[in-house]
Amino acid sequence: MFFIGNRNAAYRTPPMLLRFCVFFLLLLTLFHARAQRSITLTDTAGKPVVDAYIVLYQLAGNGQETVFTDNNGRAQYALEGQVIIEARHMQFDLLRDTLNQKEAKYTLRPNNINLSETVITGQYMPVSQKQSLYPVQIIGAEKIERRAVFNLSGLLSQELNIRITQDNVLGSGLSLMGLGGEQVKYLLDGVPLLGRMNGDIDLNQINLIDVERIEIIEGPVSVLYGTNAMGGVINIITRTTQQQKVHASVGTYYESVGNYNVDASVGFYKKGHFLGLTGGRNFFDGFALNSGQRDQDWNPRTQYFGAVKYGYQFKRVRVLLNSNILSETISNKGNARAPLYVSAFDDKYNTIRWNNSLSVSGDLAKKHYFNVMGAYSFFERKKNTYRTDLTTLESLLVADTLAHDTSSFQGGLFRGYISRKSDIGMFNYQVGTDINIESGTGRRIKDGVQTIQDYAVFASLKFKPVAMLTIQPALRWAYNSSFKAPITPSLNIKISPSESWVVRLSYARGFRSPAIKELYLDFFDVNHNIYGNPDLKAEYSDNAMLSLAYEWQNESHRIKFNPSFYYNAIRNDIELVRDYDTTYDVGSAQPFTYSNFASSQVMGANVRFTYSYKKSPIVSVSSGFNSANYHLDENSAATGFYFSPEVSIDASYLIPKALLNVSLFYKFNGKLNQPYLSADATIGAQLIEAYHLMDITISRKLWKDRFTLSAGAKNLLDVRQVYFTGGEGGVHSSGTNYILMAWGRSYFVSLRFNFNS
Amino acid sequence: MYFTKSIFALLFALVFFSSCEKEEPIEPTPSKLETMAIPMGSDYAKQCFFDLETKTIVAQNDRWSWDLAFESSADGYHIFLNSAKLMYAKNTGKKNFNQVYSYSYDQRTSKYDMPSGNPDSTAIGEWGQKSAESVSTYGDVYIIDRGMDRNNQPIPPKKMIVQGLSNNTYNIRFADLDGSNEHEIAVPKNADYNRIFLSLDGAGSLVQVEPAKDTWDLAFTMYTHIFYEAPSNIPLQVDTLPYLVNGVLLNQNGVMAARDTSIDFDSLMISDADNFTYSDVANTIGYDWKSFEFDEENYVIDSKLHFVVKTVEGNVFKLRFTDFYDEQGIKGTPTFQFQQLK
Repeated sequence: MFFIGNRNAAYRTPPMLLRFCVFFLLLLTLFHARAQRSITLTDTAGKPVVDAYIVLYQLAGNGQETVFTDNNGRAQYALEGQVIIEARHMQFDLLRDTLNQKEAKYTLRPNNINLSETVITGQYMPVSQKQSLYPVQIIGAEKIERRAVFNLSGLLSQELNIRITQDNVLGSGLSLMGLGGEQVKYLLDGVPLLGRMNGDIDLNQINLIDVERIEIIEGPVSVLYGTNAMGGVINIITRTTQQQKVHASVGTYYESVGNYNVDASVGFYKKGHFLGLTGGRNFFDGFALNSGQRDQDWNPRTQYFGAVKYGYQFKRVRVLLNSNILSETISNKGNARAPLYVSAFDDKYNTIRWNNSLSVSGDLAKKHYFNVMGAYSFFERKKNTYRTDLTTLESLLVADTLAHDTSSFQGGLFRGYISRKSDIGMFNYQVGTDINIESGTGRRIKDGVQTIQDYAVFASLKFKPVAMLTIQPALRWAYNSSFKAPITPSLNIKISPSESWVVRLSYARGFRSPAIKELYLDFFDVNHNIYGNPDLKAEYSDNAMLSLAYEWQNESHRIKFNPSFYYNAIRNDIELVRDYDTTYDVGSAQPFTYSNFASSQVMGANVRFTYSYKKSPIVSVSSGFNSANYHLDENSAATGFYFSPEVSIDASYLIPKALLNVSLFYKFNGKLNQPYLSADATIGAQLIEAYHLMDITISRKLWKDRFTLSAGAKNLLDVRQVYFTGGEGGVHSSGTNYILMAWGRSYFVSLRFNFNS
Repeated sequence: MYFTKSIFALLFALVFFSSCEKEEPIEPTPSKLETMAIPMGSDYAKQCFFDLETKTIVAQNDRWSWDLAFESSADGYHIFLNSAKLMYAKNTGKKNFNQVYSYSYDQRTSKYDMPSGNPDSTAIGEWGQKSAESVSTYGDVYIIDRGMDRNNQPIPPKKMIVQGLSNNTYNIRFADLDGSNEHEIAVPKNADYNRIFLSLDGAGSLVQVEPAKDTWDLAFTMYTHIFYEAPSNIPLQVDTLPYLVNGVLLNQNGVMAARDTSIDFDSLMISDADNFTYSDVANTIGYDWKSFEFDEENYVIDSKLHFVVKTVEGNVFKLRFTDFYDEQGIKGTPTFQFQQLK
């Protein structure tokens, strides 16, 4: 079928009149819709395939045209004569054919790649998970729904290689493969998230409403994403299009610990235009280990969030406008004050996150893909202190400037790349630029405001000498206004010896720029004497990774097996240390500053295994360990490698007759060494006890799938605090020997209504 | 179907309407005790002199308004520094006023007044030879470090010679370190007062600070406390750490106080108070009835600690602190309950 036809047929020059007629006809075609011929695509079930991307080449001549299928799976084109058609869609195998008829119909074969297994993070263009040079972990909307979680902290708590930490005021942070959240890059639809209050983002502020999938790359991707991306990248990708004309959804969630959530979204789609609106409120009424006290271990928080998206598909180019906002209030109530217990100090933390982006992506000529994005982000966190009279419950804002604090960050981003994406040629490449301007303001920032500008270019070469081997060296060069930016290299190798096996090898350099606070903090009062160090160098890591992926499937069974190994050496770790070089007045606080100080090595191994039988059951078991060794400098003693194991299980079963979907989630977090830096600059070991997390959720669809009712139990094993041995517990120790981990067992019920037309 | 619908409606309603922060007010505690608040300002600017019997602030002043206080009793001759602004003094050992033109802090010779208020523990110390009611000077030139100003910046120091005490009058000669602004001033005693106060601003001036010594009991003020246990990792070999604290000092005209943590404040009777040991050391009440909690980032009152005070007039009061903040939540307002026991 392919490339047969009369390409070499000779043409005679037509007479003048005929030529004129042809010209006239051509004009007509231009003025009228050129849609004279059409192709209709359906899947094996006969349903139309929407948004398939079809390239047509004129067999005789140089004519070429690109079209997309509409909601009926139909695409119209104007090319005449015999044409070669190439139809592409993520969920289906590539279709190639030569045709000459006015109306053609094709049935596309599913490609066995779940839509959620398409990845974009770190790629030349969107590709399947299997094609990616990086091992990318995907958490799809389906799993988010089964987990019945509504923010990133809840979701990631059960993932392998991730540990979630909690702070009463700063919220949830994480560590990924032994590296802290400050060494992880968070992207929301490709835009870096701002607002690292103590190095990390509060993951409770990252909502999962309308999220399509989350892509996680473990290990450094600093070549592409710059600072923070030394431990990994977590890219949250929201829905930016839909197949239905109108889609609406309303959800409620209640959890017995005191969560009351409501959200609603509506989306419209017409002729390539997509408009989506989302909004909601999450409310948590707080939780205390010991009831009866005002000061709660888990502070009450109220969040309002909303998003507006507009997307337009113009031929092979996609434009997307995206704006989302979150407003959060955490109220940190103080205990009634001794000795009268009639008043208390309450703190309120108001946070605003506002992200806006405009991106244009798509094909440039035949063989290139481009993606350009501009973004503006705003983050503000206000702390206000109130005095509450407990006899009247009247709250008065404390009229003392020291009782209030506002920190804000603004970020501007321009990012663009172009890649030669042809999957046939031996050499392909990607070049891009990444410009980030971030400014921070706050009472404790030197001179009130500081700005860091970072201009980077990156390039990579994809060399494919034989079909089974891909070698991709890459380099990033950057100029930074505040410190000497490092040159960042990486090398990725992918070997596919057979259909079932993929072997990935990589070396990558990762780095983290000193944050504004670390460079320019100016915190001086009776109790504090902490200042930034403008001479800081970037933290960096050298990471080596080997990952194997095996995949086998037949009509009913599917097996995935994925062992991996990594070694990561981190240097120049920035720590807050006592500054012995600066003299200070008798009677004032001792000086502390930031310094490139510690180094560490982390190594680990993981095995991920998934078995599925048709649609159910699906069982994923993953297990691994990581082991870290910390020391301060070459001469000082190291803590030694401490191995910490982890197990994560995700099992689901669809009870056929009852149509109940039952899921079980389990995570074991082994004993972990979390070393601390004591005030006299020595490293001490602090062992956090092992603990188990387990959730069960049951869900059922009702009323022709219009309602989804879920219920279940979270944290069945009732974990609250986890004890640790050794360590000081921080500079201002309160003498406790446990860390808060979770709020104990709780039960939830959630209901979602979906409407389509 | 109706049943299912109702359940759904209920679930929605539950989430929509039951999600707000709730808290019930508590009953105010009835009290027959007197309550007094002493507003010193959030920068602790004021020094307030309080009388327990009349329940009044007899006098108050700005703590930066003076530098030196002169003993005013018939046989007194000691000179105190204003410890409310972290002042210290240094005896240069030199006798020639014009030879002293620079100074540096020296752990050994730079001295702070002791918070006990004991006249034998002043930084200036024994400045002359006493005979009867006169003192003839040794002629030593002192550096007077004037401490920190309102914005926590050092105030330029003065050099000073106490030229003598005779006819119930001190004579002081002082100047800037470079010799400019040299002045002499006479400070006459007044037997109605504990101390006479002098400001070294300009040509020097006498300042009204403490009220007459029989009219007040407690001074609410900043003062310099000397900590003896410096953190072990401080590289400077300091064995003392002078530090400004906010607290209460006793009138050194016979006021005495006792500290107690053993008896419940509400049930504390005169019979209990009679068994206490009383002290006239100025900082017996002191500053440590409150402490700064780093976790909560505010001052917390020690609810076990309370005091019994024997006043100038010989009455006995029990007293406990209830707050360090005013009703607007601004710090610097020590608030206390007190009740006369005898």
